[in-house]
Amino acid sequence: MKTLSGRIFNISNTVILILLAFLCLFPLINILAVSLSSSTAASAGEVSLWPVDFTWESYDFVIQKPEFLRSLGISVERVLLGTMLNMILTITLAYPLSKESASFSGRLFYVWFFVLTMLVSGGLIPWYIVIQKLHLLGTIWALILPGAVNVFNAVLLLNFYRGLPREIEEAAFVDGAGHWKILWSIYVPLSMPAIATLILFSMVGHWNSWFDGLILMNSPEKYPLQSYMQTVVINRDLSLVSMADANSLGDISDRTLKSAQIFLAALPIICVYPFLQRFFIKGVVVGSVKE
Amino acid sequence: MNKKLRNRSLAASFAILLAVTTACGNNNNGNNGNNAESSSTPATETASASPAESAAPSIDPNAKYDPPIEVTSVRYTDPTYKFKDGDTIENNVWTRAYEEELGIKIKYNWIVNGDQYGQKMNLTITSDSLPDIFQVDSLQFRQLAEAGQLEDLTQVVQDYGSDLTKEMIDRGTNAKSAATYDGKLLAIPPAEDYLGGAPLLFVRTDWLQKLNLPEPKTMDDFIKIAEAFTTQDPDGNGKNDTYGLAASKDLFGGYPDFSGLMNGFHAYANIWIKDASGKLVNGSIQPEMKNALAKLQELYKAGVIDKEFGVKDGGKAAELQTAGKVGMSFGAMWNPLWPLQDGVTKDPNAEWEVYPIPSVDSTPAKAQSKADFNAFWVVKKGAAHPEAIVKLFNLYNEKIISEKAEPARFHSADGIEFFKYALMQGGFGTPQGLLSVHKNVVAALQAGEDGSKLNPEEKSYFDKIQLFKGGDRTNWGTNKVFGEGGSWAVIGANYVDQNLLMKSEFFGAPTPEMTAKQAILDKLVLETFTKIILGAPISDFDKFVSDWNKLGGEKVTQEVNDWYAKKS
Repeated sequence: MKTLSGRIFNISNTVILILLAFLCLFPLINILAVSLSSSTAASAGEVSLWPVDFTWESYDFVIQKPEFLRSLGISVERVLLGTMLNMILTITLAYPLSKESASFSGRLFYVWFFVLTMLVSGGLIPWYIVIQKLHLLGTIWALILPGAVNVFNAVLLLNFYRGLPREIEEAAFVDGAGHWKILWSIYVPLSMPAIATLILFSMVGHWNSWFDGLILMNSPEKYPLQSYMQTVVINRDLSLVSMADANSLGDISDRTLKSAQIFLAALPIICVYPFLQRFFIKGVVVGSVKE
Repeated sequence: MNKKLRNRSLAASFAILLAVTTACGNNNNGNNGNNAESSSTPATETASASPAESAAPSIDPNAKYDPPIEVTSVRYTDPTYKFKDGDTIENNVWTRAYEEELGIKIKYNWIVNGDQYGQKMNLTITSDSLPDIFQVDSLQFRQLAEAGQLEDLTQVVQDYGSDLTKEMIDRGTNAKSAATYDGKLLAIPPAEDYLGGAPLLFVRTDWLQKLNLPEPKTMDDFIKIAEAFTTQDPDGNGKNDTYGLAASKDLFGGYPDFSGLMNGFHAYANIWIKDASGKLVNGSIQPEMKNALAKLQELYKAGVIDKEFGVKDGGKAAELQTAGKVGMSFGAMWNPLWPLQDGVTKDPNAEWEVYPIPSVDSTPAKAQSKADFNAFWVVKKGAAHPEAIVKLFNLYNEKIISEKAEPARFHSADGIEFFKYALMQGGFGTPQGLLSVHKNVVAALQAGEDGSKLNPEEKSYFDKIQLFKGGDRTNWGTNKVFGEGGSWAVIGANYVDQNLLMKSEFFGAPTPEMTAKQAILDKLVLETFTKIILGAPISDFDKFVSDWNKLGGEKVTQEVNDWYAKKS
């Protein structure tokens, strides 16, 4: 097996992949290095991969910053509530839709009913007005309810359900189980790989989304973490600076502080990924294969 | 079983439908109740109709609302707002003053960070949920004015405005005319500031001395200095790693700003100037611009400008300057505060001086300037108390700039800026503007006073300059902006006293064609200028001029001239 060309292929393959991996890691390492450097070194652009004038100062500052911690709390609340609701609705939605049309005559209607929402949307303004008229503005539910039914996730799970052997379900029916029993005692335990993947999707989605927070929350105190981060890292338009702004430009452009917050905000997801990664690949692929 | 499932699912969906519809019904009822309570229009109108009526015969501008009224508004904050003693944006020294002295309670429908305000305001306008008092930009102002959604403030300003308020509104004729629609004053106009954005030249003077160079009096001096800063190793580290002139991919803006260099060639980027025949023309397409671009191209080739400037924004360009690698930059008067301050803090030898724009010939260069009137305080049509906006503005003026001002309570103390909490704040300044701030500060410094006679804003700069004089280099920037020989000293002595300011003649709201095409035209200007600086043949400029006209520029020019004819 180990021919010369095979070995060359292996080596160059490894080198290229390591380089690629480094390319992906580089921005993250740079952010980490900047966040651990002194602010003069950072604003002079001297930091690349290793901290210059090592200091924990910016982390000290961020940890004591009420805005950061408050937003973190809101994000955690959002992820927990949102993911739970997402999963309950996805699991229960996918079950009836996974049945054949023969056994569920309205199936086609419902499938289109949901799929349509994937294809067309009302647009930003109608979306905003609906949420406003429902009096959800400024509440945590404005971030959770509009995206509570994720049709894409439901379709993934639906396909996974369909891959499960029909005989198990039929056997359960014969033994007197109803639909709820079959769903929670057979389908859900058997679909754990797919469900774990969807939990990850949903968590990451909730954690990362920032635009809805910015638009739907009526004060910065209610921003989830990523909306808050957006206001921290955005670049100022330097053509519109007034005297009052100029006084604070120095504070705002503190790159070490920004970097520390970016790193801390990314940390939870970085930690979750390795553990759910194995389901991630398996779950997505398995769901897509039909017998 | 199949049937059972179907029946059940049908039943379930009916149940959901029912639940939704009934929930909606409840919601609606709830809404109406809420609306009556919170939106204040119907409820407070009836509640306070009697005092308003009884006050009608003789209007007392200082009368307090009793019972207190509630006024809805929206506002922005930013992460630099600081609070003390558990104050919040909704409960602080200003909101308490509004309530105690005016009987006005402010209710914020939403609060958002500054950079999102415009977008959120657009959503609020389209979803038809305007608050009573709010701030809009020029485009939103025009839309609302045309749709008749704004209250006419002419009379309430007459009746309720304090002398200071009237002075603040009348001081900028252009600003006031921008806030007027159809002969009616529909907004409290922003400050008219043509000086704050005018470009200045900032030069590392410790490098000048080291290389034994003269001050930049003419464009030739400037070019010589730029080349020397690039090639003669002014930072003395033995490496050829310095640049003569700061640059960013945006070319224009408060920092770094190429329009300063162009002004030296009597070319004026992106503003509307009068040509020989008295017509308004866009400065970007005038033949003088060609010379300026040719010179920039030359400087780029000689390595005076960072080779990577095309991918760096202002913040990135500032890094180079902070690192002590750039010796000159054009920019607005606040540049010493940022980014120059960072470099001065870092390098104890660094020293910068401010100069007016050097000229390429014997005609002195005029610095270009445009006042974008982009912050109008307006009142929703049909608001119960349109005069509240004037009262709020009266109070702000009284507490901040009048002789009765209480700076320690309302302006700032211990580094916490209270004045930012006020509903109507930001960009109003003083009736005389920042130039007088500089003059008063310098006068107090020269007289050796303690600054107690200065107004709060002046006092805050005065104190920082005193700290700088005591050896604190972190306050170098304030001294360089407001102190002797600072930005404002140069602006006053040159742009004002010698009348060397080229104001944009157009200051209205964007015209319809501008709304449609300005983004494309701006992009065309930016791309063409960048390409020419990077080495494209200078003859491309002629094609650019005809492209600019074809892509809508001609029509925009027509509209701008129509506006000008109508105005005068």
